[in-house]
Amino acid sequence: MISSRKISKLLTHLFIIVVGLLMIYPVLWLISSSMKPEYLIFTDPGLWSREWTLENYWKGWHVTREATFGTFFKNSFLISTIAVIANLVTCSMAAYAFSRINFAWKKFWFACMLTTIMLPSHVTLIPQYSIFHQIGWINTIWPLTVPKMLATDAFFIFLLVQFMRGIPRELDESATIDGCGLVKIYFKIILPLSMPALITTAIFTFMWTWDDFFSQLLYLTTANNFTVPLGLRLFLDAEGQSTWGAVFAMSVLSILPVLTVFFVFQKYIVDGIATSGIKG
Amino acid sequence: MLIKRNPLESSNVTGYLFLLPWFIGFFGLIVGPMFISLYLSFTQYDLLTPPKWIGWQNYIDLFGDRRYIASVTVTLRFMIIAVPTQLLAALGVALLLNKGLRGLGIYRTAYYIPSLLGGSVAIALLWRNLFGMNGLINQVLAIFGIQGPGWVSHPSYALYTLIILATWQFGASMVIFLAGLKQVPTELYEAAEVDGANKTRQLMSITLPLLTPVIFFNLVIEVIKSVQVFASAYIVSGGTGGPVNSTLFYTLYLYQRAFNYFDMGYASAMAWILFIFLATLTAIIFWSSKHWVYYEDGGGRK
Amino acid sequence: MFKRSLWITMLLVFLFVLTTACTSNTGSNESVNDGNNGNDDNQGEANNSDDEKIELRMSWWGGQERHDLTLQVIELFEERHPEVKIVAEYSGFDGYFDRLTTQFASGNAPDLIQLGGSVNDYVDRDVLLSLNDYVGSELDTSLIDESAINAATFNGNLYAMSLGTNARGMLLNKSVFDEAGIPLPDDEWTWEDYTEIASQITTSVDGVYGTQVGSPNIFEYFINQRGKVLHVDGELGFDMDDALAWFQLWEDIGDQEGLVPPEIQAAAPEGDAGQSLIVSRDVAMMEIPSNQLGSFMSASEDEFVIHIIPYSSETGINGVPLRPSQHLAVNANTEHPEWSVKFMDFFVNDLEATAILESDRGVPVNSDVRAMLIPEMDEISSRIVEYVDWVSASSDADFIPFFPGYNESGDLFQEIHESISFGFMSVEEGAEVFMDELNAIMARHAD
Repeated sequence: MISSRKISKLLTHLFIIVVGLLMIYPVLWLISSSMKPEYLIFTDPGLWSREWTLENYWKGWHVTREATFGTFFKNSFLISTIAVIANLVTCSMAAYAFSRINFAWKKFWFACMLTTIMLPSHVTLIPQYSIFHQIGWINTIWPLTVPKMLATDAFFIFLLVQFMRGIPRELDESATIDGCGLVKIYFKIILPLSMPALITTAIFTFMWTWDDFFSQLLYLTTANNFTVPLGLRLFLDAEGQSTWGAVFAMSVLSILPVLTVFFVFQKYIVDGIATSGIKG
Repeated sequence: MLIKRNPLESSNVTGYLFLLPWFIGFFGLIVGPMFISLYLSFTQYDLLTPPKWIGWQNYIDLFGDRRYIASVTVTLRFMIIAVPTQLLAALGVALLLNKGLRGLGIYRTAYYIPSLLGGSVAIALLWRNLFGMNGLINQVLAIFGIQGPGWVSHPSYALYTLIILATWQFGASMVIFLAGLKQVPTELYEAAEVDGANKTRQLMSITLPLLTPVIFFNLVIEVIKSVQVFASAYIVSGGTGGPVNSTLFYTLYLYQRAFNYFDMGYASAMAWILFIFLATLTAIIFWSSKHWVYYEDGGGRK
Repeated sequence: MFKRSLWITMLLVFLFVLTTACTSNTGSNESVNDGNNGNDDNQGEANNSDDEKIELRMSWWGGQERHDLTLQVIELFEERHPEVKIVAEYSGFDGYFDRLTTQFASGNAPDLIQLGGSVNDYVDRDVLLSLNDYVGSELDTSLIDESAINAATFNGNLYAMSLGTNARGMLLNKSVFDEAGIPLPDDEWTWEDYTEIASQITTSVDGVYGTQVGSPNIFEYFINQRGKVLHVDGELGFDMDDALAWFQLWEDIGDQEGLVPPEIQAAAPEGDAGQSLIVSRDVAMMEIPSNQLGSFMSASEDEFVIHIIPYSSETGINGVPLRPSQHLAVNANTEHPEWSVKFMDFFVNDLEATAILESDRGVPVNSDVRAMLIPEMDEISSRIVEYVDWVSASSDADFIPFFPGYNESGDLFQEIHESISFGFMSVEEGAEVFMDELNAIMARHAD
């Protein structure tokens, strides 16, 4: 009995490892390519190279006369972190209202919120750019962060609504009996019990902001404000000279923060915050 | 409303206060651009000169546009196959990685890597390295004596390869499922064990029902995302939607029209047709959710 | 336990953000102010010296080396003219034009703009400054090649400065030719020779095919070779027979096994040297712009030679014109047209500036600059100059820009080729759809 259970556990592990390797292959390939000299990247695409070099890292880091990748990392960190905090605060507020509070026209506003993710962003991009241009925010971080402070990421509101609706009503009721108001319920009950969803929100906001290329290209125009995705493209000229080695090297560095964030936070989703007392 | 309670009766003000940031964003940044694009859909607008009102012409032209029809077919096909496969993969792996094994954090991170690399510029080269005529996959197939096709460069295979790629990038949905699984109270499982229910029984009568709000969320989001899929096709085809329009997704064609062909009016018309399609589809899913989504806060109603 | 460490982590992150926000505040504030100076146009009444500066914004795309060289030239200009500040807005190629159109649409386009093959799409919509009034004063064109001036002149108005002369040519993988024992083609080879060599390579070298389907550029030369042009006065300059002959040419090369299978060609993105089929040794001949020779050579250990495009055996015309690599144009709404044009002049005529830029954007268009640079050029640059000279000597066609609706017609061209080579259309059907839809595109852009 025990041994068969062990075998099945071993098999599960084996399966997860094999599939996991399949998932990890891209990263190994990325690292290997980042240490190949330029002329071998395309002619010798395997994982093992005849020749190794770290020059791509040096060359990539010193990307232009005006800035190094250090600046870009700093800017990316700044924007992503503000986005995370802003989304956590405003999306959870909106989600709380939609999921727990009864107010007039709620269904209507909920539908409005949901429809905002249904129109492809390409057609609203130019009017939005004009708004930020009028305010004078072009080439600042505000067009990339202020929308998050205003809960424009309907994806996360909807996500949090779904999770908050999974929290039993009895908790609110007993809290109400204890004399808690709606604001207190939000802080004392809803937020702590939505932790897995909030952490999911934080992880995704961080990654998607970190990787977002096009809006950062639109709004950040000078090197002192560039972010990592913009920096990576600086090496690539589809009509001229591209230095792919540097792209690979900086790509390796650029996924480290997101990997770390994911690795650190994922465990809080699954085994972190004790949910005992949910039925309390 | 099941029970009338004091704070809820007078909660209009609090409700709107909690929604205040969203209201400012909605009216300040979103509604205006949406209506402008609605207006533009009735104009000929090349971005560089002022728009000209042409009535329903863009909407009429769409139906005679060979490439528009191709893009609709490609997108629908993608949606119908990719949404269920991706949801099942994400749910399956989430259940597997939820608990009970040592070192799962590493695995979870490993399984998330594909979604994480999705936005990387270097990814285009990787696809070629994996799926090209002489790529890794065909090299493996060659060991078994099979000559594989160009997975992303043959019109008969490109779309299906993209569907596989989309499935491979199930990480985001997986994380959301994991978070959902976390919300299932452990007491329920303990009680079930006492009652002698086996794992399958627990899955069917505890885990899945309690997970329905999250399944519902992922379904809605995946449908919307699959119809708006852009990045993978843009990367694989170099922005052309080729070979022979086989990866010409709706939003890719929309983007080409808007920015490459200086035809924002037409693109706006495309966007609004998509909007109406998605709104209808979502409404249907919401309506259906009454019958299969279970909320702890009492029934499947809003 | 977990809970506490989570909050500590979040707190640390938050502190980190606060500190970075504070330290970088100065930086971003500066750039905000810079942005306002350009718009307000109140230089006269400003107090501090930074505000008195005339500010120009310049945008270009490129790779690492171009960014570096261009920034050096900007620094040099600012040194010479301390009253001017040039804000560099550079990026890779990806998204460059999307941002540019967005900026134009919102009235926020830069003063100086690098443009490429789609320059006429911008000229047609009147967003570029006509340079006619500045020629002879701010802008000295006396030493600029006539072909470069012509290439940027539309309806009698000069709209841009060519940043370098390019000539398209056939890149040959000499290593493959040597391995196969095939001699390099003659200087006046024809499409028949090309077809034969292509099939020879396929049959004699394992895993290498002769060539790939020609680009829109070769199509242009092919039309020139038939004594016609792509378009005149908003109408197509060729007819169904020409289109048929073109698609049939590639069908024939394919029939004789000289072409790489379409699924290999479709996987290679256009323009990128590293990912090209000649570097991966899938083909031994492909057409490239001369200024990219260096990119191809550095991406491979093989030896490459750039050779002229095949001649027409019927008319004896070669049809390859010299063409601009990129253009520098001025926004029609700039607040400082004189200074913008002055910088443009500096960029192409100044000996010190052009010595920095060398031939990064193609062979310099100013004859004095060329004379100065040629003796000091490295091997690759001299080979490029040599090739451009060759084309210049044999050139029998004028440069005209690609069809109006540059991207749209280019996409159509590629789609039809793929449809034929994957067997979705016959040559006749392909040519018919091509002509029909091309006419529709021309009509739409003529509005």
